[in-house]
Amino acid sequence: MRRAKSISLPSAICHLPSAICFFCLVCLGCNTGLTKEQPGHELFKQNPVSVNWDTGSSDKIESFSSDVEVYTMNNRKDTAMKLQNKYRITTKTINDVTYSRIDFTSSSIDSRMTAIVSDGTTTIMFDPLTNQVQMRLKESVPPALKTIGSLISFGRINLSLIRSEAQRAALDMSEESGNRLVINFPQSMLVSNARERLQSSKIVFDTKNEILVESETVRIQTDGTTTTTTTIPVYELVNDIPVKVGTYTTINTKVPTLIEGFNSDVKIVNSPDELPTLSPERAAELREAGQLFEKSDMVFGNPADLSSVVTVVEIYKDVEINQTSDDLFKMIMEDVK
Amino acid sequence: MKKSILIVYLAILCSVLPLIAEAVARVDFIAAGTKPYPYWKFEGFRFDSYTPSRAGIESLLELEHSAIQDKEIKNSNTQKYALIGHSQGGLRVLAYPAFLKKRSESTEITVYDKNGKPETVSLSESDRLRYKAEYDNIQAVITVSGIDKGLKALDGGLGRLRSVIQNDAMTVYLGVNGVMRIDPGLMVILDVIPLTPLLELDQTRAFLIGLIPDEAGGFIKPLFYKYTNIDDVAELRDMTPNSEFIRKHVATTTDRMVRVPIGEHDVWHVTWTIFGPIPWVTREMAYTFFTMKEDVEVKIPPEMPVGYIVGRNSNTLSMANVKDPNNETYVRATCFALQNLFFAAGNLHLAQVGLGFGLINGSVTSSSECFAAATWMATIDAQMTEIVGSTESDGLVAKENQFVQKQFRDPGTGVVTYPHDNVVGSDPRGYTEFPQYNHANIFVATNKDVDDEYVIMLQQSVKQRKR
Repeated sequence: MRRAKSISLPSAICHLPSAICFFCLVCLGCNTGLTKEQPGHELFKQNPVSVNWDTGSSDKIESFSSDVEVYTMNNRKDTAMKLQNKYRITTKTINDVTYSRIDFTSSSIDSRMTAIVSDGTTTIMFDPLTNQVQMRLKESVPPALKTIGSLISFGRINLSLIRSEAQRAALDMSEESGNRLVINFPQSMLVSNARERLQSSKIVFDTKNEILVESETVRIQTDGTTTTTTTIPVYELVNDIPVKVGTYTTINTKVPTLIEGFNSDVKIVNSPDELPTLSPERAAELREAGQLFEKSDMVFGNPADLSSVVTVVEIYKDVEINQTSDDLFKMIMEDVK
Repeated sequence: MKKSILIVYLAILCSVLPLIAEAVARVDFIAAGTKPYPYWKFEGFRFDSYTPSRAGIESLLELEHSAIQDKEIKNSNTQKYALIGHSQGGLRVLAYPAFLKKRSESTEITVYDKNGKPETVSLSESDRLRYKAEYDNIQAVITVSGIDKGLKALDGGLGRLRSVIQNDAMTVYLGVNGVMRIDPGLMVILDVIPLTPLLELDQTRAFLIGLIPDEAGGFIKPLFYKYTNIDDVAELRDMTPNSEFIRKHVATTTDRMVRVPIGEHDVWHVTWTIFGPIPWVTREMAYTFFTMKEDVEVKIPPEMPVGYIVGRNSNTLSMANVKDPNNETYVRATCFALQNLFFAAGNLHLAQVGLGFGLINGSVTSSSECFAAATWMATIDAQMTEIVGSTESDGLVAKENQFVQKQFRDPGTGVVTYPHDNVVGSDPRGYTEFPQYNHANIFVATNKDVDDEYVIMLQQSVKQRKR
């Protein structure tokens, strides 16, 4: 086993330091190919991803395990990303079955729910210290969805298998310019209920680099609120193989109606840049004097409009590839038997 | 936990619409006792049982003026007295001197009946003298957790409160749907209240309003139902910061929003190009936001000493304990249980994402929404603060709205102005804070420390009252 060197990637799978770099990149006419010359993403520079790959076992990703930090930012309220969640995710394919396990690290939650393990059909919530099962639930996922899902790995993807499975399920599949393979899923495969309908769902692959580059779902609620969720995986090259080291997700919610009852003179602030800046020292003086008060309900944009864009960034840390023991999934393997 | 279930269902059931009501005076005469002066006690707004009415605060002042006059005439009383008002009563006692003084100087005034209907009447010389005599009898004014400059929760109109609560309701509602999509059986495992009643957005909203103690949030219910016209809830209209009533009798307040940097952070972006999506990052400054307040055009007569007693226990949920000492505990237990439920559901969705198909079936959205709902429950105090509109408050009224500024220093020029400096009290800043009291428990007779401050304020008023 050896520690692999990780290198950042450009274009669809890169992390650029600034918009300027991005435009330079476009001007230079880069494509989606993998190179090793781009600087790493600043977030990853600050939080370097260590990737340990047991290359003695396989050059394919058969198991993947990582600590994950989840940061969120709401464009209507936040000016900084906030740490929302931490967990460890582990997936492994054993005898053609993909298993997933989530271990929680938060100490503030109910001690009964510290781990979840699933094979896509059965999910078990349990206490990993005592192995006491708290809950079993059965998933009713359409087989084609489950099969294609299991092929979406944390690195290079077997696209020919994806194509054949999509064909078998008669999914809408199209090749687009820029080496893109797009698969759309019919509504009949997607979850809907009386309150909401999953209007569409698609996944997009980069056929040159054989990776997933995007997934998108559109949900519509009975009141007309539309939520479009787009997830873009972020990869790094390890031994010339792309390894997922995070995701960038936007959840764009459009609420069709405005809240009534605002006075006509309500000030609308669209960006923090519209406001004058006070130094922290001056602010402290004015607060002490009873002239300055923290605004706990700052909203950017029209406060009558509840639409928002939430950005969710997942950062992987201490990635381990092909090092996961089957024992981690013993509970569900035995349960299914 | 069963009691918390009861709270939830009561909250939902309590969305019954009240009828339009007439104004009723809320004053009481209190003998001097150990204090230098007797006083008229002005009770606050009935947050826990508000009945919408077209009668605004001006109508209340008319009725209260009549009550005070009746007593004075009956007793031929020319004794000096103070006015002490709590909550909205603080706003009324603060407005009362300007109300009387204006009438003592006018030949024609607008009066409001108990239904809020205005009528223009002429004043005779004897009427004016009567108002002047009553004005002269007032020794000092004290506001206690006063809504002196309005209820910040209503800043910008009823829309602001509706917007905050609707946004909160959406957050929790989407979390509930996330639970239902993954497995409703989670509720049983985690001993959580059945969420089925919360599957409609308006029911979720009623549930959240039910989490707010009635002493603070009882008035919110009508805002979401029949009474959409602000004149139908005229007392609330008048309690809006910078309302016509406040500007007429108390002061006009100018707000300036400013930002204060707290450090740099990464902001991720994605740009779509013909080559596909490109993520990139910028370093940007994060800020906290503040409002700079300046009271201008103060209408409180300069010869009238005013004392401001400011409640500073900002724990809104603690106000529920006035009725039952365990209420806060029940609400927090409910929130904790729901936090765990949403958190578990979020992680179950994450497991589906880990298996790949969660990227297709909407689990990415649902996990994020469940975590947002869990965060809402985990930060219930911050959510209450957002509703109140200030991090510094008495659980209901923002600190800055509980007093009129004694002085203002222009941050640009350094020039100091004195909007209203005839202020009494033991704190030279112009208001006396009590960190231990919230809005619901600051105005009870057993608070000896507050009572002592009344005495100090009234003693100081001997020198500061000019006639």
